[in-house]
Amino acid sequence: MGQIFRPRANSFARIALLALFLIILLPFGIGFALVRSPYLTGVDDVPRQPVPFSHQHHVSGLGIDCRYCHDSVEHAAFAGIPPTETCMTCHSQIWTDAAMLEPVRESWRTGKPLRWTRVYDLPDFVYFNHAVHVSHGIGCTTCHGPVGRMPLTRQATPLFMSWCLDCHRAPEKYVRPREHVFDPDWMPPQDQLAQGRQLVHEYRIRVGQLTDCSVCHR
Amino acid sequence: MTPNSSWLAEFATAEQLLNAITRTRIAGYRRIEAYAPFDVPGLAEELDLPASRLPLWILIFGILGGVSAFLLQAYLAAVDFPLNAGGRPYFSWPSFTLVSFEFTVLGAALAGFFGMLALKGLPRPYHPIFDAANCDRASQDRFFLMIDSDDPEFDPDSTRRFLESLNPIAVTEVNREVS
Repeated sequence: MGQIFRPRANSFARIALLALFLIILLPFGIGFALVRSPYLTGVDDVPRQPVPFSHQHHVSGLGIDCRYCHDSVEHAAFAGIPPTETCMTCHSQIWTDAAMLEPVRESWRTGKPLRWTRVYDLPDFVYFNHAVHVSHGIGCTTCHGPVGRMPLTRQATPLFMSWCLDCHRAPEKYVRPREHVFDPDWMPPQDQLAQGRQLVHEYRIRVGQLTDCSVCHR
Repeated sequence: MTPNSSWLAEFATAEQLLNAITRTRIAGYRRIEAYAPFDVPGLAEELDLPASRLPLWILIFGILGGVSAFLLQAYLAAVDFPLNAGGRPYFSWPSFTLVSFEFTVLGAALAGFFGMLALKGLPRPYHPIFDAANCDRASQDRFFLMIDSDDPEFDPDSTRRFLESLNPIAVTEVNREVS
């Protein structure tokens, strides 16, 4: 019968065997890379908003405190998006004919709220509580990035559960003094770990319980 | 006959092949190979093949699979994310043994399959022996004995005469071509 295959078939067969391994591994590699990519996490994504609201202008430029607009952040689980009334406390008097602000005035006239696009959207099976973080010395910029320098709001962190747990396992890496929680320009000090450990003790953060399932998935 | 050709003798039964191998080894040839359609009992002993290293590979990879599975479970359950699941201790090793066992089997089985391919140099769809006349019957009903031209005792004429003295069906040549 003689040879069915040519000599080069030996090389092909071995390369094919090797390629089989790679082909099996490839989907895993692509999958892991994909779910971590900004494309799926939304990090640095700037969603379209009805009004191009600039945190940079209102926070850094005008020095408005975070709590002026997000007024429930210290007391409630949900930090709240301010209602049209909050905008109109100033914009009923200034920039009253700016075209950019027409959706705000229209909302004020008609009573229909503005439809803001959420930037930080957790799945609904995750219960997140702003108040408990703020009252235990976790500052705004630790999770939301340098909001005071964002002309348009973008997502600064991926909201992976491993990202949440990173702090729940070792809050001393991120916790800051309560009086600096709303400071948009706060930077961690040189001795953050030592100071953080002191604050964890002082604020009675119970690290041992923070990774229990019921903390978030309640 | 082209230079560097080996001789291949064809036999009708396994007994004839075993007998031929015995006589070939007595004649002093060492670089010999046998091709048979099935695992002929006693063939490995007649050829005096070295012990396979495959059982050692299977043992190593079986242990490796079991140990890594155990360590992975211990790391996940006791170090990476200790959870109070049912009030068990974090390092509850009896429950790790099932998966460790299965990974021992998996590691050993994969090592056995791929180690067999690697040690035998498979897959090898092209081999000079396939060019020999009637060689395709080596997987059906004929038994073959090859004396390699690398053998120090090899001589084209006398080796051929020696093989013909074993009463084969035919003696053909195998080109050890440099491809």
